Amino acid sequence: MGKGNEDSGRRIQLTRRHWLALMSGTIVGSAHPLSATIVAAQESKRGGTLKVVTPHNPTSMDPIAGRHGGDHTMLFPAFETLINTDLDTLLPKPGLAESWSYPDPLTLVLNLRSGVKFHDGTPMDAEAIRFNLERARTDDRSRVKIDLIFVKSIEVTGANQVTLRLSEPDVVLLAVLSDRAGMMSSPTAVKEKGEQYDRAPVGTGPWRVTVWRDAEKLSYARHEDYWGQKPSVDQIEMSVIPEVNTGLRTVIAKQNDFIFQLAPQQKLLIDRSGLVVAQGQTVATYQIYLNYAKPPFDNLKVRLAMCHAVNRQELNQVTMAGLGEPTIQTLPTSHWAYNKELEGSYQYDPDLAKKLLAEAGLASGVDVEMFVNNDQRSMQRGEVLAEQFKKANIRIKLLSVPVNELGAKFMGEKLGHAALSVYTGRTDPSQFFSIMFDAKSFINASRIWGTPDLEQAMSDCRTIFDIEGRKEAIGKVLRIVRDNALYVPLLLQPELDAALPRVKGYKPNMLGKPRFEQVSLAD
Amino acid sequence: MWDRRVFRLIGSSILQTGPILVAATFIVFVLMHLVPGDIAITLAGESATAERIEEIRSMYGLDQPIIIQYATWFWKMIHGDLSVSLLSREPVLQSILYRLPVTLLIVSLAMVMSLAIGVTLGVFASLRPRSTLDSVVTTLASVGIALPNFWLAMILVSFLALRFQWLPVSGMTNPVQNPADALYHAFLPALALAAGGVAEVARQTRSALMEVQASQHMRTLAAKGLPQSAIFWKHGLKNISVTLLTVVGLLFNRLLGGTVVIEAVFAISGMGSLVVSAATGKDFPVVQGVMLAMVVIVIFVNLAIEILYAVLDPRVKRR
Repeated sequence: MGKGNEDSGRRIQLTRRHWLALMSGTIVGSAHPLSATIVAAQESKRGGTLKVVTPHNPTSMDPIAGRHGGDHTMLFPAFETLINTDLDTLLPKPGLAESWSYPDPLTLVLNLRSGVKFHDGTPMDAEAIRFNLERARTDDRSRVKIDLIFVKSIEVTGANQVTLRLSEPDVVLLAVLSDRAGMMSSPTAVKEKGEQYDRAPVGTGPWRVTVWRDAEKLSYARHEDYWGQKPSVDQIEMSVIPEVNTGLRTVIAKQNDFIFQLAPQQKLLIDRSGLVVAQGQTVATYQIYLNYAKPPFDNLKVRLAMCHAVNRQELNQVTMAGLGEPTIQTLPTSHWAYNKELEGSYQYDPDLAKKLLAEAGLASGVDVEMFVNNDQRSMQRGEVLAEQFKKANIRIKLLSVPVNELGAKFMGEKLGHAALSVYTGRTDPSQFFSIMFDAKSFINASRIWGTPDLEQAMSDCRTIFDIEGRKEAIGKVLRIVRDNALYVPLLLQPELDAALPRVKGYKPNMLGKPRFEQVSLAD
Repeated sequence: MWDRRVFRLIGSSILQTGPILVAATFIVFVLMHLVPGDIAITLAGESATAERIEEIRSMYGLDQPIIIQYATWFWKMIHGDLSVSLLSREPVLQSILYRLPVTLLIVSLAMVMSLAIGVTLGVFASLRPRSTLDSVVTTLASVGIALPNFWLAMILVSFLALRFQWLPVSGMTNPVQNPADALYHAFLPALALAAGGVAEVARQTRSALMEVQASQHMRTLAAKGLPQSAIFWKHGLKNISVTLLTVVGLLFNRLLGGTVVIEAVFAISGMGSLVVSAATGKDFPVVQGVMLAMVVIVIFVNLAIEILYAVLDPRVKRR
């Protein structure tokens, strides 16, 4: 598993040809080299039950109705997406659609694999895909409507071909179709179960869901008619244990095999317990959300002062045991769109922060009310930051609230000036931009565009198909966001998982959402 | 034994149940709405717009006045429909029926442990007042009451589950499906939960027994020539049964409340963990359903205690 970490830490170089090939869906399969972990998988036996501890209870097992990034680990065994994601680069690769093309910027043609069936025997054909995408676009309970906003119509143009007509060019659609909106459900099951489909999902994945007992357990059994390479593990049992210390104890006691999303502070205990550690970079980010529609953050100099007042290295050492990655752009260095130009921005400089405040007419300092989740680790992060800000005459008043209240207070009622929280990450940077900075996004407490040129720059990211052009467009948005200090990026959240030595072939990924297709169990 | 007065007692208790249920569920419902936070935001997901949140609020009836929301829930409830969880869509009745046996097993086992160990310790302490044994029992009882059960739970896990691997670290099998395995899993949580109960029962038993032993009728029995053992076991223990019954009633309610913490420490999917996750997420149909179940249980336990009072103590029947 250690090798996986090296792989995920490697910067992937993409060529223009590579990107264009991906845009037309002609590269089949991931090109990353066979890692030591996968070799180990081939040496171990087939079968057995993989027992996984998950900190999250799924919010729904209907992919389009779920509302938490933590659901994906539970969805992946049972559902496949139209477009797959290369977990080393987060670039699109063939999934249920074996190829795709944009004959013109307003048309996306998906060519589906033939012979694929859902767990209930329903064929996965063009009509099934049209049904799913229409449902994702229009169903009352769909939480992915906004992701398909530029899809004007969905047409069946062949037994295994679907054509999407767009109202505006949208290259991000490929990333959207590799997420919830692209997870295909059996139309038969959806129609039969109605709202209860949430609890009895039917996909095309390598395993099918057999039991979901809310907040307790999810069980999966291997789908024997799976179209692709069958997984090694017969069954997966996921136990829902929200308290990570309790979860880790069950792995140490060999009651379970694998646990993910551990706290960096637990690393020492994991090492001492003889468990195998897997760690890597993810796109999840700790950051401070600012309401720049009202004082004091309607003043650019105050926002810049905030960005310069944070000592990210110290924050990483104190709150993440050094396992996180300081960031000023919410992209890991291994991400294809990582922008080297931005390195060196927002250097820790409390004197500069004071000077910026003085230029803003706040020489005596500024008082900031910042919401923070009331769990122990979030409070620790808040307190460390408050101490750092104090050195720059920024006096932070921490307002601790339960997780579900932070959004209601800061983004809903627009109380306070800032909020310290985590952004769980998406495959494409444009998705991050829309969530964070679109004037219509609920997450954007300001409900305004941070600067007049941002809307156009964000739009360009969705309409440029060429890799270099797209990297440049994303870089432009990143620069605008940096120059206008629309939020305070802090640290990328590390992925920290632990497993019994009998678990072979597991490799962490940049999404921080474990997948088990390559995992096997030794005797 | 089951004369008219006992039936009247049962009848009046059942009549009182209705208003208590309405009052308890209404108060909890109002409190849930007073707690800050908005479930519509949770339901809307991470990339929601403000319009979408309003749409969801309207879809789930969350924009209705509180009294209308409560009345809707109540009307469904009296027709046997406890609704579905807003967050997971699982029918609330199904959640409760699955989890209730788990929690009841832990509470019952903890009660049995509390009584078995507590009464034994109390009896031995009362036999030798102010002896070393008495001092040890009294001290242990004080410590037992002071110890937080979650701390004791973690200590027990460290030794009995992690170090010696005699018992499981966490989890639970449903007692209806596999009673033996459920007992095996319930032992450690019940032991942690019972610590306070053991201490309380031991102290109450000791003091009640010492009081009874000092009473005039016990002296009379001794004067009549009854052996000391017969006086103690036959008359002494019988006389403290009402005191113990009171302790049992109070203890049951406390153990039921204690499962909230114990179920979290042992990652057990019972009523306690259900109500915590539902309250945190403002999933009010689940909170209401659990409260309803808890109130019914507490009312019926109290009713059972009342009936046993009447059975054990004729003076209660006369009242």
